[in-house]
Amino acid sequence: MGTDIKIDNELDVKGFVCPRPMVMTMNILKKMESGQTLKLIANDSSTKHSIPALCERAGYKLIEETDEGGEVTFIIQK
Amino acid sequence: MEEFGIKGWLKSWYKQFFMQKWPLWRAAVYMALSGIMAYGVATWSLARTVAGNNPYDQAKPLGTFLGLKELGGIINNWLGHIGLPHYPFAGYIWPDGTINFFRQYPNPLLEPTAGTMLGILFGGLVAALLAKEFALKVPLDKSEYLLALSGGILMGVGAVFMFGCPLVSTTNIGAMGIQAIEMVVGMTIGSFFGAKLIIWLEKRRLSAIACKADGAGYKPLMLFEKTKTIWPILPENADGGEPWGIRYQPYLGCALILVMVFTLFRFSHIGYPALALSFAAATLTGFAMQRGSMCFAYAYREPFLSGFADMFRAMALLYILLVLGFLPMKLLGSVNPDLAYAEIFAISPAGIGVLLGAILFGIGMALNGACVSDSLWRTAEGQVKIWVGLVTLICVSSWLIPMREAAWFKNIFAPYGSRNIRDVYLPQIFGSYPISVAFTIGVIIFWALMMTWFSGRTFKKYMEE
Repeated sequence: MGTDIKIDNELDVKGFVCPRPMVMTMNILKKMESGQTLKLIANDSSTKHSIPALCERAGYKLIEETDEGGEVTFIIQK
Repeated sequence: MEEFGIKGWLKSWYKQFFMQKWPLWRAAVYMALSGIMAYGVATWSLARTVAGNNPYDQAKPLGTFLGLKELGGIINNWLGHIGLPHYPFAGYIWPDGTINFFRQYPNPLLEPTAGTMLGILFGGLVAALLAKEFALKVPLDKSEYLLALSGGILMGVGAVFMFGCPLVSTTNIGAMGIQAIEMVVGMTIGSFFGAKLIIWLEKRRLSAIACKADGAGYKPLMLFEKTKTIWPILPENADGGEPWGIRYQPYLGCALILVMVFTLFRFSHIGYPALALSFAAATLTGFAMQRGSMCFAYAYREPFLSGFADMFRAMALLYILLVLGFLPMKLLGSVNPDLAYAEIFAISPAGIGVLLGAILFGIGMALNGACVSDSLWRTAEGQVKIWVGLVTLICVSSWLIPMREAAWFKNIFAPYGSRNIRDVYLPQIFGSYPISVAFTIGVIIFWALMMTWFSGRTFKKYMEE
């Protein structure tokens, strides 16, 4: 994972099953300022589909997506 | 470093097919193929039974309804015979209402939809292992279990009233029954209310926790009780490499495929080729669902929750492919009296009960985060919350299923088609196959457009708030 990305907010939704990771992420992103970054950690496999789809549709920048043993980390810039 | 040659090509293919998530359309196509295969195997097994082969080897199109009863019966026996007795049977009910080839099953697991459920579970497990995605995840947040329990109860009751689950609705839509349209309408209404309930709960939760900026944004937002991944444990230091529990998962997945192939061959040799093929079709369904994260709960709920209708459109593609794919077997049943039942496979009685049940089921699956088939592949991924919802759903429905045989239940909740199943069969109602196909596909397209419109509205609201 890149170390030069400044993380403004962090959300750990491990253990939460669809739809809550998506809802929580949307709620947090809504409260963030434009340009801020969010580090999201999830272990529900549905997020691999839903989070990139959210970024694409809302115009958020998905800077990074890593998967380690089913634990997925996203870095999203609003 | 990139590898070239056959090894490099194989690695790249493995990564694309088994490691990366599939696009939704691909998962829908594979699900349709397995659904059509299951319908074909069911038709073939009917022909074999009519010809005097093993009467217990009766495959059925993809579904879970009676499987809930049989698996629930097993769990109930473990719990000390809780609930009403159940009577697993094999048989075909001819269009005139006569029951042919009726046999009491020697083992509840021979009931084909019980095998379907296990097949989806198995397919999901193999897919998760091949992708190194299996992990036993135990949520420590009690609210997740409360959602699973309440969702499981609502789905259990709903499944009995609507005679099935969303997977049954796919088969029933392909089979062109009225019940399917009621199911789609009801599950949409239920998912709408379920989504509103989730939004309300999450708003309460967000306002209850101190997640306001403290100078450092929301970092770290660890105010939720975290999950506990009990296996495999990821190392604190990434330099330690993958733990063996992750590294060897693909090998275990391959071993399970070999065991399955060997077992199904053995099963075929002892007189159950149709059930073996039916299990294989269900395994493909589970595999495709896990790879594409295909989720009926997501498809019906998200247009009202987060504003996404991509999954519903994929489901619509699945529905349309099934309508077209089932057609040859249905036409075969319509011209061959011996195979008459193949024309009306998966058609069930309709009435207000189906609509009410679908609404309850829709609310339940929105809360639980998964319906029956979704729960099976997610259970196989190691999501313990989903286990709770699934067991609750199976137990509740198995306790209530015998009720649906009662005359009062049929008269009040499912009067249409109870005496003659063809009363709820669209080609019989319209008197024409082409009109029925056009009508069914038209309804699916209309519903997909409506869900897309709703999703646009929901997302616009989210962006503007």
